[in-house]
Amino acid sequence: MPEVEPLSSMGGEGRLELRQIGVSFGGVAAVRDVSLVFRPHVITGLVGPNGAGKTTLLNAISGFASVERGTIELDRSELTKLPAAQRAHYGVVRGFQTVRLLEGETAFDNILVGCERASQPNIFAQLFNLPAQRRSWRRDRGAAAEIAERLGISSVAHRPVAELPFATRRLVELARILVVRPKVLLLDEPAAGLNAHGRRQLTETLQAYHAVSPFTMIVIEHDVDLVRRMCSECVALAQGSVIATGDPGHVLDDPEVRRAYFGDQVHHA
Amino acid sequence: MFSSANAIQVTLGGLATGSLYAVILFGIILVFQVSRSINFAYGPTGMLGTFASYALYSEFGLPVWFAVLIGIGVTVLIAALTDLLIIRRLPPQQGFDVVVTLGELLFLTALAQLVFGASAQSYLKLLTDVPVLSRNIFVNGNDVLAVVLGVAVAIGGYFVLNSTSLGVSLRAAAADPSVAQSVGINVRGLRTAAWAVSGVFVAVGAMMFAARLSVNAFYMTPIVINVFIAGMIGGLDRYWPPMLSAFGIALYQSWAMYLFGEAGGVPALFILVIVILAAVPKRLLDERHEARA
Amino acid sequence: MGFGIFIVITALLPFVIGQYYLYVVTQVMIYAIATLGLDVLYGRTGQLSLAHASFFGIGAYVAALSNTFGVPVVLQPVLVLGLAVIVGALVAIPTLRLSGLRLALVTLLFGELFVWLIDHASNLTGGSQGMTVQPLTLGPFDSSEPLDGYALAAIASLLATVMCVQLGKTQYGRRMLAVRDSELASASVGIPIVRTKIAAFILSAILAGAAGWIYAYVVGFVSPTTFDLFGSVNFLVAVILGGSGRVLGAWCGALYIVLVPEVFSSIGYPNLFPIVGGAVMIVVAMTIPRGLVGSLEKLGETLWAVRGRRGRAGG
Ligand SMILES: Nc1ncnc2c1ncn2[C@@H]1O[C@H](COP(=O)(O)OP(=O)(O)OP(=O)(O)O)[C@@H](O)[C@H]1O
Ligand SMILES: [Mg+2]
Repeated sequence: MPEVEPLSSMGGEGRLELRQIGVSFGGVAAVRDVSLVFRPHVITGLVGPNGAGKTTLLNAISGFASVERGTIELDRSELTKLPAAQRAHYGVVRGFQTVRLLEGETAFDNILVGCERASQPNIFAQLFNLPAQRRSWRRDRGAAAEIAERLGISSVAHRPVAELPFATRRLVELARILVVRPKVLLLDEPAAGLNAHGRRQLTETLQAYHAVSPFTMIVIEHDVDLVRRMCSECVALAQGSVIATGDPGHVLDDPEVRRAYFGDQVHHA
Repeated sequence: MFSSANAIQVTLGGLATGSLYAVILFGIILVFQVSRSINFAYGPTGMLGTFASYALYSEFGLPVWFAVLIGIGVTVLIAALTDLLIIRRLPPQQGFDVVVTLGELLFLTALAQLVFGASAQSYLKLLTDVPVLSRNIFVNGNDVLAVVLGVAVAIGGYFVLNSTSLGVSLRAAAADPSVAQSVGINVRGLRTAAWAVSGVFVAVGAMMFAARLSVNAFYMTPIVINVFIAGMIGGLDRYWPPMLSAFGIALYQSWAMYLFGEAGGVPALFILVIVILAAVPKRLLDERHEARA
Repeated sequence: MGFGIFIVITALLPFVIGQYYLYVVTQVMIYAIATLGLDVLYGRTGQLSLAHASFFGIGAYVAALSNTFGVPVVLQPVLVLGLAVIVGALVAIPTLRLSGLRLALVTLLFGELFVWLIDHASNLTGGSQGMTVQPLTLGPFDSSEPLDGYALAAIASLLATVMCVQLGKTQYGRRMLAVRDSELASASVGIPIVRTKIAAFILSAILAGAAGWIYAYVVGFVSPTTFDLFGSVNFLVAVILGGSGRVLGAWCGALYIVLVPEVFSSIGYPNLFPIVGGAVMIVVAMTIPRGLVGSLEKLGETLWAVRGRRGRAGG
């Protein structure tokens, strides 16, 4: 089975460096002065209370929110000013907090859309079905079938996504991202809305995939156990600033993090 | 030739047209702000009411005021039915409101052509034969009535939308239907009411225009296009920018037609839109976005 | 296999049906090309254009005016193609900044401008009265001969159909669907949204222009009423009735816009067509938003699933 590589995976491992990132909405700072280094192939958990700026930070990295200050670098290439679509071609790919799919299409076609990041023949080859197009058509379908298999959604691949249950829709979105190996994968609360079984399945699937073809990964997650199980590093945000980094066990037990999460309760206790 | 009398004449003409644009636009704003929909069949809706009133007057000999009232009633009915029978029942698919009202545009226009014939007719005079000013500058009663209506609707509409509880309900219904519903606003009823009321404005505008032109089933199409353009330039989720654009477009067009001939209107409008699209900062043109999460 | 059947039927048809019906089928083919064009733009990419009839008109007036200006036959397709690309790209420029309703309005205004141009160049175009088009002749080929016109339309519609089917299997086709359904998801996988929209506009303009060019030669007469707002809405009815994003749907839609007016004319009520057209659009959007073909597909799937379940239960 073909493993599709993005063009840009030629060089670099997926080292993501943020330097003094600031994002604000109408004068209100959502992310302030965040500097972080995400090491290649490491899964990092991003935690923090509601409104801490986690999604905003992810948006800034993936190009969906424009940063006011600071720089974003991937393996020495600067991404700061690039539009989202171009960052995807550098291998920075994200999932959405609310899953976004092509609602009218089947799961399989949704996965194929992810092949955008693999090299494709020019428009004439495409429209006139020249050999290059036939090759990439076979390759893309093979890759989509393979990832569907790995994520366990082959049996529903030909169903319209609008008919699928939520947990499966998450997996379809994930398959769309993974069909071409990402360099940096950004997930926003992937386990939200899943039951315990679904969560376990999702983490196992992700970990298994990551073990075979590693990439840098940042996961926003409220489920503390999931972060402990899946992540080898952890970053805690509160009110737009980093308040702790390091080993997940260490960060999640940090008094300041707990205070940020549970607010005044700590004082009352 | 160019003279100050001509300049005043052209400006007054543009002002009267702009006033009627504003009257029609108010109905569009009302509907858009409550239901986020656009009625492409808006013009023909008013046109049918206008034709109905004329038929009642000329065929059945009803008095003018009564025929006009019934004509407005017909338009209100069509507008309300559009929401009740069509818009409400649409599958929740984006953009279908535009598609069905385009279908209705085709339907109503063809219907009017079938019933009232294809040739241009004249309509009730509605004060166009009453001179108000004349020597070098010709202004008739219809122009004066148009300006009075336009200014009254623009200012009155502002107060209704911004300073009454009705306006608050309307905006709540638009912003978040489910929240509005939960605080006891009858969102569906309010929407249909807005559609119905919009009929009054387009009927009045259509009748006032009909009095000035000789009309056929298509006469409202270019007029409503101009009004839509004003709405697009100003932004239908705001109030004064589109309203002032309505006056601006009418003035601009009457000057363009004065300087370049009757035929200059269409390309002048096209150029205006292109220039505005190129010049206006993107954030002013932004429509609703998908939430970025 | 579908194409094989298509070719066989197309080749046999002239021996089976009379000249009048052959002419009607020719028109269906021409309208199918143009409808496929709007399907690419609206059905697949989700960009509502009310200027499609204008692109159809551009092709038609290239044919009509070529005789006046003495443009050689072989240059005309190049001219149509070039104009379609340029004007398609120009009309697409507002999509850089607009979408949805505002885009529809700008395209509508463009359509008005086109009709205005035809009306005001009346010494060339005959204005609103229209003009006759001299037949296209090249060697033994003469577009005013029903069989020749049929052959031209058949080849062109086959090409257009093959291309649109193929489009569904390509990266460009996937980009279009993605842009239609979610611009955020599109951007997140690296799809260039603006470029995709412009490509869709250009492709739809090419198909409409080619169809218009053949139309003018086959019908032998052009007038601006064919190319106005109502013409564009008619194409939209065809796309929606047949089923957005489906090649077969575009053919069904073309069948409808050609046959239904013929039927109404033959029973003496030509004016009924637009009324019915408007009503059809409303009813289809409300009851079968996937269109005829989409709904049949859905029905087929359901039946298939039921049969499969029964089969398993029985076995
Ligand atoms: N598009 C926006 N416009 C204005 N303010 C925004 C926007 N997006 C986020 N914010 C604000 O920025 C702050 C951070 O929001 P963000 O969505 O990043 O938080 P989060 O950590 O992801 O929270 P949650 O756990 O609830 O998802 C919040 O105060 C939010 O209100
Ligand atoms: Mg969030």
